[in-house]
Amino acid sequence: MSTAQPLSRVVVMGRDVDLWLCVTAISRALGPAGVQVTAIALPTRLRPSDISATLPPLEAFHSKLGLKEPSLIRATAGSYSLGQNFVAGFGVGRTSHFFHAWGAYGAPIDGSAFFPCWLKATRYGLKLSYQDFCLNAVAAKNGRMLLPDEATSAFGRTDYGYHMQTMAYAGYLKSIAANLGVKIYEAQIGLAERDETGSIAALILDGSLRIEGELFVDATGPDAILIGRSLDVPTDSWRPYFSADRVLAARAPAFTKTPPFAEIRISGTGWTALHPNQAATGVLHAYSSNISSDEAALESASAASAAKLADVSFHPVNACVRSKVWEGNCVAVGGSACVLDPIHDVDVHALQLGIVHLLSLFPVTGQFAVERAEYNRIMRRSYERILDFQCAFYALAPFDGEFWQQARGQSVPQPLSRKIDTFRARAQIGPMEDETFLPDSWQAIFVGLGVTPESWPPTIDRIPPNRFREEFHRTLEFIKGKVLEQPTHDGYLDSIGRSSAA
Amino acid sequence: MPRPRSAGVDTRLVNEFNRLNEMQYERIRDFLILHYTANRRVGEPLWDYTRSMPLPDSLVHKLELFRSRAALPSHRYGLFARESWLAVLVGQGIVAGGYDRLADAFPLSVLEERLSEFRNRIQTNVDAMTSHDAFIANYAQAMEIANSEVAVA
Repeated sequence: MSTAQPLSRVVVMGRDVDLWLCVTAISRALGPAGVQVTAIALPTRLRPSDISATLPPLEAFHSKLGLKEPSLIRATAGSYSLGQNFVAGFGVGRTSHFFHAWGAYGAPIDGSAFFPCWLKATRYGLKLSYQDFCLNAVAAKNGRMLLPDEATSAFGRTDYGYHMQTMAYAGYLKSIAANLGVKIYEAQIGLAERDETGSIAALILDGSLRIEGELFVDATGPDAILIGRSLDVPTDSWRPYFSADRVLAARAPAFTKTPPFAEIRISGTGWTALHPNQAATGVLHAYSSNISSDEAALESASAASAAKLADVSFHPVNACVRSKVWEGNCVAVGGSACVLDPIHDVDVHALQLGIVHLLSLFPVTGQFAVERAEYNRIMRRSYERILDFQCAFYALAPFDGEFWQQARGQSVPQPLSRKIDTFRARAQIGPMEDETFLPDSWQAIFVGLGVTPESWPPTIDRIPPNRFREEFHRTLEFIKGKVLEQPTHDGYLDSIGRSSAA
Repeated sequence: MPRPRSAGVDTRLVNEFNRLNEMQYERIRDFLILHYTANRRVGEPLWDYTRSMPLPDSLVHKLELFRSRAALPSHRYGLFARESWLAVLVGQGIVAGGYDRLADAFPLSVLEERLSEFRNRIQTNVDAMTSHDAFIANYAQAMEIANSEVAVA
């Protein structure tokens, strides 16, 4: 192959959302640039109970791909999520709850960030919680949707994620990929045929059909059939950071009124996430096999969700990152590149990051050593920032119970220790490159878990106390008025057309 | 009640201060070195030296990315924005061998049309502007009038 020729044949092997989001994106972005995409679809691993809970950036990514939100919501029995409600009930030492919103908390006061102002005010007796100043959190508690307008945009970010039936989401993406002209082969297995340089020359499907390509994408999930099994690229284990090594996935009945948020319920032996949508409630229970048996986990999950669980399955979680996510002419995206802890619903986002960075560094020709090095560098950093955020939850969790004791005893990545130090010392979130979670999220988690900073940036001391009072009052009034204007979540779902799957 | 501020210096803040300074200063340093290393003044000892002197890895990396696909530094936190990097990389005569593949999504004729449209728009805007001298003269005069009015009041 001449290296001056444009690279034009991409073969993506994988399954489910990893595969279909990847081929749709590459084809949409680079089809017009002459890139032909072939999808090798391995048998699905999805179960009817699987729900994809996603982070806010997926909305913008979808619209770049030409996906229409109402049609997506209808097709996936989907719902909107304004954030995650963490609830610690009885039996874990202290009852507490906090809302981790996909939106802004408060608005700057006289040019200073809201958070230290709120913090200082609480030291002087303010009784209102941080989330009382968050439009997303208040809307969520009232079962409302949150439609951005000029006033909310001036106030701050009001984003949302989705809760979609994963099978339907994967099917939806697949039909878009087919419409874009992606060539689709179904296969039980595809094996790599290497050339003399060690690069992948072709994939042999089910021992017969041979599919050639110039760039191969491994979207096979944790199996990592290409980058791991064929190219022997090892993983770096992230097990030492996490207490949970198993998850239970199941389905509970849909709520009568669909809550516009996810709920994470803390128990002594783990946590249980409820992801409601129009058709059902996805239940995910994370636990540790050296503390709980699968039977005990099922008991905990049933108790936490207060529902009869159906379609129950158990899965190992082996958090790890591929030491190189792009090796030779093979790029790993999604689960083949990085397996993350289930907390905070980051899987689809991690997949999105891998795809977006691949598009922005997509080779022009067969010479791509520089792109490969840069991709490996950026992806590693991006995954590590997600790791930091997940570890923060476990390292700081104040709950009683064996699971949490074990979680607090795990390793803490060094950048996270520094971040916690800075927050404790000064109520500030140290900026880092390639962060997935914004300062609002970090503050919400830190405050929610009971971390109290010892001081605040002295620049806010110039603001007179009556300005705080005025602004707090104005913000609360604004939030109250804005929330009352909103349709209920169910009303909004009705207005865009109910899912036939619901 | 708020705790009294401790009298000593908090090492946690010292560490964070140093981290942020290092990040910012290294990026400024790379930007400055770029001006010296990318020169074409052959036969002059100072410039011959700066052209061949060892470079920080972080700058080598930025140069490689630009040479291979005209990619600019992707960092968010840095004094000099991407436009500044582009101006100096191009201005110092560094040639990009490749480009961003997403640019192939447009036919060449469309790109040419858009670019010339863009250039025309800049020219039109510039033509509509007052000359620098005229602006300063007017501005200074307006300030004088305003000041004399304040004095009268």
